[in-house]
Amino acid sequence: MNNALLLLAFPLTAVFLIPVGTVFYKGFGRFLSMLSYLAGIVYGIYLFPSILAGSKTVIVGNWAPPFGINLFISPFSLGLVILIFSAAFIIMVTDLQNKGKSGQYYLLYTLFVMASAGMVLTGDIFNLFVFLEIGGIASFALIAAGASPMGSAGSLRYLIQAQITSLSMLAGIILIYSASGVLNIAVLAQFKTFNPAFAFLALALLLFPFMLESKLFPLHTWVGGAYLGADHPFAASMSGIAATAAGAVMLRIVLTLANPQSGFGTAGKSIQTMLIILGGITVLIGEGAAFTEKNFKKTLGYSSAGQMGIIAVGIGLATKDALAGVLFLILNHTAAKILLFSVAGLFSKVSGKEKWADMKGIGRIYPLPAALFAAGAMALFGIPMFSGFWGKLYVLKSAFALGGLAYAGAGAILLGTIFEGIYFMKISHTFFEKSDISLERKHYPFFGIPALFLAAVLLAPGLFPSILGPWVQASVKELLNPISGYVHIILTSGGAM
Amino acid sequence: MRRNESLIHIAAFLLVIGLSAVLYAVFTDTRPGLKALDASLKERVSYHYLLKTAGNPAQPAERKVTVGKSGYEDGSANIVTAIVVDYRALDTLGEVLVLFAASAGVGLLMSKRKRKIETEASPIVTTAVPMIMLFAVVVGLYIIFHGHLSPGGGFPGGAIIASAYMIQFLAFRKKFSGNLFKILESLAGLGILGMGLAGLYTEGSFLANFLPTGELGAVFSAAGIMILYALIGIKVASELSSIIGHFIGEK
Repeated sequence: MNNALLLLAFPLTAVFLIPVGTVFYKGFGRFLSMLSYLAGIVYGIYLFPSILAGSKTVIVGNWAPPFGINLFISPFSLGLVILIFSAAFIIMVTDLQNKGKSGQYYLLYTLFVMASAGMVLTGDIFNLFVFLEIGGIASFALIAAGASPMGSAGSLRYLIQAQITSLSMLAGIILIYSASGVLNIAVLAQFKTFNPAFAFLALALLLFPFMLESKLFPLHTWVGGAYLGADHPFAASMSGIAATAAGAVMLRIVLTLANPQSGFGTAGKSIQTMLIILGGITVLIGEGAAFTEKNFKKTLGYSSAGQMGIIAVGIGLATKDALAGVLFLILNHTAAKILLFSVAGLFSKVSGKEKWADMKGIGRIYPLPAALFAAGAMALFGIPMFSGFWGKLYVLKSAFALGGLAYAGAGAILLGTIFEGIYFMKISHTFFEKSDISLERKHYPFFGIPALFLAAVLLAPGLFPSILGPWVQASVKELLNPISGYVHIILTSGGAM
Repeated sequence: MRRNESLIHIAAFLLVIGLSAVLYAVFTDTRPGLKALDASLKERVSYHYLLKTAGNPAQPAERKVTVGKSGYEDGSANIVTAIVVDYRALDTLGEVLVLFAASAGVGLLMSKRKRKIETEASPIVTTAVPMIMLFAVVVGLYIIFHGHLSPGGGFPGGAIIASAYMIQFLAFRKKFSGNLFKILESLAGLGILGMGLAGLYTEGSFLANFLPTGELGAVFSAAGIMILYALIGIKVASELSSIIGHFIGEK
C-alpha cells in the first residue's frame, strides 16, 4: 500500500520536469501539470474502492510511526485529494485560453496543489508544517504574479500574515514535542493527559495557519488584497483548493488529534467552542463585507470567508449530522467557487471591467455563463436541489438539536445566508438588466464544458444526496471514531504492508 | 481603505488580548498534566534516533553506538544528518521544495527587471576572485561530502558554492542565462525523486535507504545519505545561484 505515495509523486515529477522541459518547449509546463493532476485523479479513483473497504497507512522511509513519517489514506483524505486534483485540473482547463503564462507559473501552481494534497494526507504535525510552507511560498509568488498591479501589495500582506501564523504553528509543534516527545498525530491522539491550559495554547497555535487559510475571523484581513491581486484562476484555487485543504486539516486536528479520549480532551472541547464562536462571527463579517463590496473578485473572496465560517461552525459542533453537512459544504464550496470565478474571469475579460456593477446587461450577450453564475450562487446560498442545501440543512439541524451556544452559531448562519442571498441575487439580476452595453459575442469553448460539468457536480448531489452516501458515511465514521479507526490502523499495522 | 484598516487593528488587538489571556492561563494553571519540557529524553523519539534503534525500539537501554562499527540501521555518524536525511527524509524533500518554490517565484516575478548601473571591476578584484572562488567551491564540496560525518551537508555546502558563483557574477558582469541552472536543478530534483522511488521499488517504502550503511564514521559510509546530500547540494547551489542571477543580473 506504500505505493499510494505516488499520489504525491506524480505532481512532484511534473514539478521537477517543468523547468527543463520549458527550455525546449514553452507550453510544456501547462501540458505536464495538467497531465499530473489527471494521473492523480485516475490513480485516486483506482485506489478508492479498496480504501472504502478499509483505510491504509503509507510509511515513508521504512521507519514505522512514531519514528518516521506516515501518510494516512482513508475515504476522507483520499476523497478530498481527488477533489483537490480535480479542482486543479478544471481550473487549468478554464484557463486554457490564456497562453501568456511562463513555465514557472505552472511549476509553482503544481507545487501548491501537491502541498495541499500533502496537507490532507500527512499523519505527522511537522510534515504538515513543511507542506504548509511549500503551499504558502508558492501562493505568495502566484498572487504577486497576477496581472493586477495590486498583486504585489496583496501578496505582501498575505505573506506577512501567513508567515506569522506559520511561525506560531512551529511554536505549537515545539511545545507539543517538548511536552510529549512525539510528533505523530496517531500517537498524540492517545497520549497521556496534557495540562488543559497548555493543551489549549498548543492546539490554538497549531490551528492558526489553517484558520488563516480558511479566512476565519480575526485572521481574515488578507482576503481583500490577495483576491484583488491574484488572477482569476488562482483566486479560484485559493477558495477551492487551499480552503478545502485547510478545512480538512482543521477536521483532522480538532477531531482526531484532540479527540475527547486524547490527552487534549478538555482543550479540544474549548477549541470546538472557539470554532463555533469564530465561525459565527466570520459568517456575519464575511457575508457583510461581500454585501457592501463592489469589486467582483473581492465579493467572491469575502463570500468564501462566509462559507468557511459555516464549515468552522460545523466542525465545532462535531456531531454526525454536522460533519456530513461540512463534507457537503466543502464539495459545494469548491465546485461553486471555481464556477463563479471562471464566470467572473470571463466577464471581466470580455468587458474589461473589475466591478460587477459595471457589467450590467452582460448576461444578455452571454446568457449561458450568466445563468451558470446564478446556479453557482444558488448552490452557495443553499437553494434546494443544490448540494449546498443539504450542507446548510445538516449543520443547522445539528445546531438546533444541540442548543446553547450552537443557537448563536445557527442564528449567525441564517442571518449571513440572508445577506448572501441578497447580494448574489443583486449580481445575477445586474447581469440580465437591460442596458446599452455593446460587446461582440465570442465563443469560449474552454469555458463552457468545465462550467457545465461544475454545474452538474453542484446539482447531482443536491438532487440525489445518496450518491455521496458511502463516502460521507465512511468519512464521518472515521472522523468520529479516531481511536478505533485512525490510531488503530496506523499504530498496529507497523511496517510496510 | 480606512474602514478596512480599523478592522485590521481591531482584529490584531483581539488576537493579542486572546493570546495574552491564554499565556497567562498556561503559566498559572496548576491542574495536573504534561506541560512544556515535561518529556524526558528517553520518552522522546530523538532518543531512538541517537541510539539508532528506531527500527527496533525494544533494544536494551545500555546500548552504545560506537564509531568504527558497522551494521547499524543508519550509517551516519552525524546524528542531525541521520534525522534529516534518513529518519525524516520526506521533510527534507519538502524543504528542498520550499527553496525550489522560492527560486521559481523569484524567477517568475523578477524576470522583467533590468540592471541600470554598469561599472568595470578593478584588476585587483578580477585577479583575486578566481582564487576565492576555487577556495569556496572546495570548501562547499567538502561540507557536502562530509555531511554524514561532521556538521554541514547539502544545504550549507550548496549555499557556499552559490556564494562562489555570486562573487564571479559581481566581478565579471556576465550576462545571466538561467537555463543551465534550470536544467541542473531539474536533474537534481529528479535524482532525489528517483532515489525515493528506488527505495519504494526495492524496500517497499518511499525514500527508504536501500544502499549499504557501511562502517560508522568512515568517509565512504552511508551511501544513501551521501548521494542524497550530493543531489541536494547541486540543487541548492543552482537554485541560490539562479536567485542571485535574477536579483543582480540583467536580461
